[in-house]
Parts: sequence; C-alpha cells; structure tokens
Amino acid sequence: MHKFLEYTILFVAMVLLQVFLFSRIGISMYVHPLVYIAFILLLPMEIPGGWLLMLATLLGISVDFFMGTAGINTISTLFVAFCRPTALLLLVGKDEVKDGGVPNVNRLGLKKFLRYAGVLIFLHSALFFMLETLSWRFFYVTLLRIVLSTIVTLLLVYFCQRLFAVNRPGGYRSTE
Amino acid sequence: MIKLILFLKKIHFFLLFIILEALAIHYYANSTSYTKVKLVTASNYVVGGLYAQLSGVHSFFNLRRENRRLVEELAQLHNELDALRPDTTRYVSVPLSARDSALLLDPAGGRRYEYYEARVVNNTFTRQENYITLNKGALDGMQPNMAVISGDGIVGYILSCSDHYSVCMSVLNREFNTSGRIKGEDYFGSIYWDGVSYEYVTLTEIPKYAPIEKGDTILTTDYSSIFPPDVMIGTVESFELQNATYYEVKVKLHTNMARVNYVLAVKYLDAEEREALEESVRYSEGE
Repeated sequence: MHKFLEYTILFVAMVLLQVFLFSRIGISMYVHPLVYIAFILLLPMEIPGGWLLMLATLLGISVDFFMGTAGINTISTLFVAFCRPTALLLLVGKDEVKDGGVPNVNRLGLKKFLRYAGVLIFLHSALFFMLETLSWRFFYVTLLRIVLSTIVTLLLVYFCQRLFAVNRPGGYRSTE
Repeated sequence: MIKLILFLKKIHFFLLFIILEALAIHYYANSTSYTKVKLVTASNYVVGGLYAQLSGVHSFFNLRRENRRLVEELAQLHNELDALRPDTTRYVSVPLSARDSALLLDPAGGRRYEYYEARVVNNTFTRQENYITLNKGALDGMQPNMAVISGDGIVGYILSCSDHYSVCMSVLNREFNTSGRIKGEDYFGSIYWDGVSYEYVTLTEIPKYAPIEKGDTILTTDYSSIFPPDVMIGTVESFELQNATYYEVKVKLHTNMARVNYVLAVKYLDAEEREALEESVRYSEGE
C-alpha cells in the first residue's frame, strides 16, 4: 500500500511537471525534454508485464490529453514499456533483475543506470520526434532534436530519481 | 486447450503490447488537427485556470518591457492618426455629399474590423504543432477564425473557444497557412512554417520576376478572410529560386513568438457575408 501511494504521487508529479514545466520552458527549438518517462523507468523490476503496459498506457494518455498530441506520447511510452524488460536483462544483468527492487542509481550504480535509462530515453525521444515530424525532409534537424533532447532528459531524469523517495534502496523511505 | 492457455500466458505481454499499441496508433492515425484542438480545448477546461495563474506570474516580470512597447505603439498610432486627420481648413467650402453623410450616420461607420485585447496564458514553440491559449473565450466575444496579432505582427488565428479560453493556431504550426505580399509590390505568395526554427517562416510561390531584396518587408494581403491587410509578418532574410520558376523566401518573423504576451484578437465583420458569397459561387460552379 505504501508503495502504491508513492508511485501514485510520482505519477501525478511527473505528469504535472511535464505539462507545466518541462513542456513550457523552451530552452531551445531543439530541446523538448520528455521527463515523464522517468515514471516507467523507476517502476520496480519485478512488476508484472501486464501492469507495466497498463501503467504506460495510462501515463501516455494523461500526457497526450494535456499536450494535445493525440496519441504520440502513448505510442512512444508503450514502446518503451515493452522494451524495458529486455533492456533490463541486457543492460543491467539477469542477477540484478532476479533480486528485484527499483532500478535507480543506488540500486544499480551510476554506470548501469545511465546505460539503462539512456537507451530507453533515446528510444522514447526518437519515436516521439519522428512521429511528430512525420517527414524525412528535415532528417538532420530531427536527429539533432532527438539527440539533444535525450541528453537533457537523461540529466533531468537523473535528478528526478534522486529527489523521489523511491530513490532509497528497496524503494522505501528509510532512516539515513 | 491447456496448451493454448499456457501459450497465451507465455506471450501475453507481447500480445497486450500489440493490442494497446495498435489502439494508440489507430487513434493517432485517425486524428486530425480538429481532434488535437478538441483535446487542447478540453484540457484547458480542466487546467486553464492554472495556466492563467502561471502566466500571470510570468507577465508580472515582463511589465516593464510591455509598458515600453505599449508607449511605442501609442506614439506610432498617434502619428498614423495625425496623418489621416483631414485638414479641415482646406475643405471648409466643400459641401458634404450624400455618401459622406451616410458614412457619418452609419453607426458601424466604415469599420470592417473589431479589436479585442487578450493575454496569452499558454504558448509553446518547441513542437511541430504549436497552439496558443488566450484568457478570453466565447463569453468575451471571441469566435473561431478571428485573427490574433500583437503590436509587432501576426501571431495566429483562433481555432476553438470554450467559455473563458480560446485556443489559437500559432504561426509556428505546420498547418498554419496564409498569404503574404512584399510591401510596395503586388506580388504575393503563401506563408507557412517548416517546423525548423521559431524565428523564421517561409514565403513561397513568389514569381521569379518579382523584385525582391534582403530586408524587404512582408505584409498580410487582402485575400485572407482572417487577417486584416497590411499587418506586419516579417522581413526577408534570404531567398532562393526554385525550379527556375518561383522564389522561396525565408522570412524572419517580426513577432518574437517565444515572448508573445498581450495580443489583439481581430474580428472581420464582413467575414460571413464574404464567405457566403464565395461559397455560393463555388457551389454554383460545381453544379
């Protein structure tokens, strides 16, 4: 129950931050950080596949509703959720996944976390920006947007996972 | 049977993904710009007040700049008004004609446009389809297809209104389209945004024999039933001959779309009459 509450807060916080902050700051034409994906990245490793996909759908629909993007966010978030178990196995290792827990820096170590988050964020941004542009005419501009947005998103996701309570080992608040 | 269930259990993750993704793609593929506007209007209904609060904080810090801009605009309007004011001493002996008195007595005068002030409460420019939300809605007299301009130039036009908010098509939307002409010339072309930079739009289909130079001013035309004529769009940054037949012109927007704050919504009073007429001609030609 404790866990459920924590993830509900994370969900709401991610959607609100995305809609009111990250989609509005407008650092540059080429940077549109899609930080809400941190919610999918930070779900416990032992979560059942069905739950993962359902939560991804819910998250995508919420962000689509507020951004007015008619499905782009849902499509890319679902894809990331689908790739997550494989990415965890390949990039983090079978043993770690078996032990479960929240895949954050404390649990995986910085190097593994950045590798895991980086790949998934790249996939997410690539799908998002390609669907948004839907044209090969500005291929290099789109590519630049994907790469720069991935880097900024990765940085912001790193800070987000540090800020949230789910950061603690095992995903719970503990006395430090 | 048991084998089938076991098999389904094995691939349920993949199956569920395919079903959900197919639904999402189906929705996306069938979405039109109308769907997106409906979504934005609906979400504004939920969080419009919050957007307004946030932009209130933002505009508080811009008051100084905004004031200066208003004073500049006031000075410019005074100058224009002075230039328009007839020199009464010269016409003192000329009697008014019937047409003049009709013009004077008509309550609407010769007025063709009505202006409403509004504030931008939500604005993006980093996406391919950018929309602007205004803090005035249907109850304030806003309606779809009103032009939105700032003191600097064009900003967009209204697509949809709820009671207290309006959603506008930003110039920075790949579906935005209007016509533009070179100041001082009769050559015109269509204006659209290519989605690359928030500072530039493209003016295309300018005939190759049009005299065009870097720095030329681009204005709106009379052909639009949305924008009033002679509103500033921007200045020519560079141009290129396409297929040896027409110029494609890169136009630097005069409005800073990233900082647009107070705007004017413009209602074209004759729009209905004009559209009905144009529509009737199109209809009778089609028969």
